[in-house]
Amino acid sequence: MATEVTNYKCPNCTGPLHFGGISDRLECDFCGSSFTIEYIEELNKDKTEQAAENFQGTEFTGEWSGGGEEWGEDGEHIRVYHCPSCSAELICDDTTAATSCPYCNNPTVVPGQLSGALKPDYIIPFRFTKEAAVAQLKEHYKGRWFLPKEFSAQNHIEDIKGVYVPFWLYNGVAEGDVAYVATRSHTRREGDYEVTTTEHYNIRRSGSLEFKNVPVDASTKMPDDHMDSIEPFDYSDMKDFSMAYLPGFLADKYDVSEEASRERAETRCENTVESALRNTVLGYESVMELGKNLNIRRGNVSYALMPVWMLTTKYKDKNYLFAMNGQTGKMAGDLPTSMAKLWGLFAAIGVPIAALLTFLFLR
Amino acid sequence: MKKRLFALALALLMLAALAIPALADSTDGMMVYIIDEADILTYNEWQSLEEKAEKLYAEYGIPAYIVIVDDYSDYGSGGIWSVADAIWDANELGISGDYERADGFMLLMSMSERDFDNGSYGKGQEILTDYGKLIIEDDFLGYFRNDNWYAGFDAYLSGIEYCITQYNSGTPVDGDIGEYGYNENGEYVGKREKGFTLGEIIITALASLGIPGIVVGIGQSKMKNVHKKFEAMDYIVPNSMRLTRQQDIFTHVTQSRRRIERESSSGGGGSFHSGGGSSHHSGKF
Repeated sequence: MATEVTNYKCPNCTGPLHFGGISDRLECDFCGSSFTIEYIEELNKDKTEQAAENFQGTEFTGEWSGGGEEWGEDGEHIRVYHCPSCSAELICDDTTAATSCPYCNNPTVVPGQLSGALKPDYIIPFRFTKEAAVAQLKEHYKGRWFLPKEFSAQNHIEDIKGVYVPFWLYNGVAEGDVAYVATRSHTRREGDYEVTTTEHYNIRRSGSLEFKNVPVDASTKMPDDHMDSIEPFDYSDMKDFSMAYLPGFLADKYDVSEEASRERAETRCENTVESALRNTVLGYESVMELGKNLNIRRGNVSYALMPVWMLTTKYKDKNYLFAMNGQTGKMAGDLPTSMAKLWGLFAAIGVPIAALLTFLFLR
Repeated sequence: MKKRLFALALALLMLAALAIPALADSTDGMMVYIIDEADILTYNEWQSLEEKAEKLYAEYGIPAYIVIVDDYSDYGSGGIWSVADAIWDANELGISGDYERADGFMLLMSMSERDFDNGSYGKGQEILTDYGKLIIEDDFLGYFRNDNWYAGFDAYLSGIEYCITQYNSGTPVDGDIGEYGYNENGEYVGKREKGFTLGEIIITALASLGIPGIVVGIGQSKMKNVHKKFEAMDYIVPNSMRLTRQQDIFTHVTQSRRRIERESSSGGGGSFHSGGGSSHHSGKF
């Protein structure tokens, strides 16, 4: 059974609305009208609530309507919805919260995925458009000495999508108690001898640090290292969650639980308090950690959607994935290296240096 | 003209404002060539060296002295070379000849700071040239650095004899002191070997591989900016650091001693001085 989804229509022309990013408004591509989030939320309140109530993720039974193909275990993670604009059937996975209809391209939201207990607390809206993301990628190529010419010249972006990625935001206090041994030495001359006197110390540092909104991405679809690399987000622009920010972008609900994500956040906080305590051990020439006791006092956890542009390019049959912070524009993605350029530069610097030194030493 | 060092030391004692100890014992009718005030030679060693110096004088008619003191500054002011001149003059060492100072050679050793002065006087300057001094130092300084005093003094006397025989045969030991790292003014500027030294090879290799390696490393690091984060610095609540324990307890002291390496004989060093009928090469051993 297909279930209900919704989309936001222009009150003037009934064309589909999408969130405009920089304008912070919902915009209509057909008549050019734009509306505030609050206005559209109010206008669609009943519709959204109704859709959420009716939401039932249909577990695919293994039979395609009218067909007879087996889907096997994959069917457990399949949801089928009806596009509210063209009534086409949308096949999504069980975490999809916002998408576009492949037939009419209208932005579509699955309210039930992000309502009730699954409703995010916050959202950071997109501030960069698709065009800005492409421009930012080109900017990312600049100053990379070893980037193959063909890679930047061809610049075929295979895929680009704006995704609201689910994140858990952890609050808490990290406490640490660390023991070190440290040394400090002085050297003086006594006749023909150099005498080094080394003072040894036992050091102890205890303390705590408070953390707010340490993010951990809660989607298995997103690579953790890419998500870490586009941090930080500017939380001053974080809004209370509203469905109205979603049209025009993809969105997933979390598929990694808050408990499963917690360890990453706590490890980061523990490492940070350990570094902070180490930074208070000053005035020594050598410091070695002897032992430590680190502990986290847990605070509350929030659920938020963060804006991320995911871009994919292909070069020599290899895919290159880039993630861009949709709020700050920070781009993360490894680039291919031209070995010819690398060794060319190495030789261009090394050979003249070797020749110059040879000339100087043998003169 | 033979002189008894005993009488000369007494004269030095009278000349110097400070009390200067006698440089030599007298032996009836015999000149003393080896004066060991620092007492670093055994009697047998002293006797053997004395005989060798005596034989050298008897054969070539020009004396070579070895004077060993605890601290040369007890015998005069100025550098070791000027103290050497003072000792030479006060003790009326050498054989009078055509030069401002009497002819001869003297090796002055000062043990406290391990200084030496290799001097030649009067005609001795023609025999033991600056270059010749460096040649014979190549032999004897190596022994001194290992505290092998007797072998070093023996090598000095042998070196003097070699220079005399070369001089008498018309081919004095002379050459370019630049080979030993000295400029035309006798200042040490560092020895120049032909070809690469090990240090130069290492510098060349490190610079020609290391510098481009660093540049390429920086360039390559710009190609990769995807990394997992292991700290959470961006999420620290401002001013939330609470340091509840800060303890630095001194436990103990350890001490290590390292002998300061001296420059090797081939490394050179030291300084040349000349004037007033004498010339010197002084340095550390």
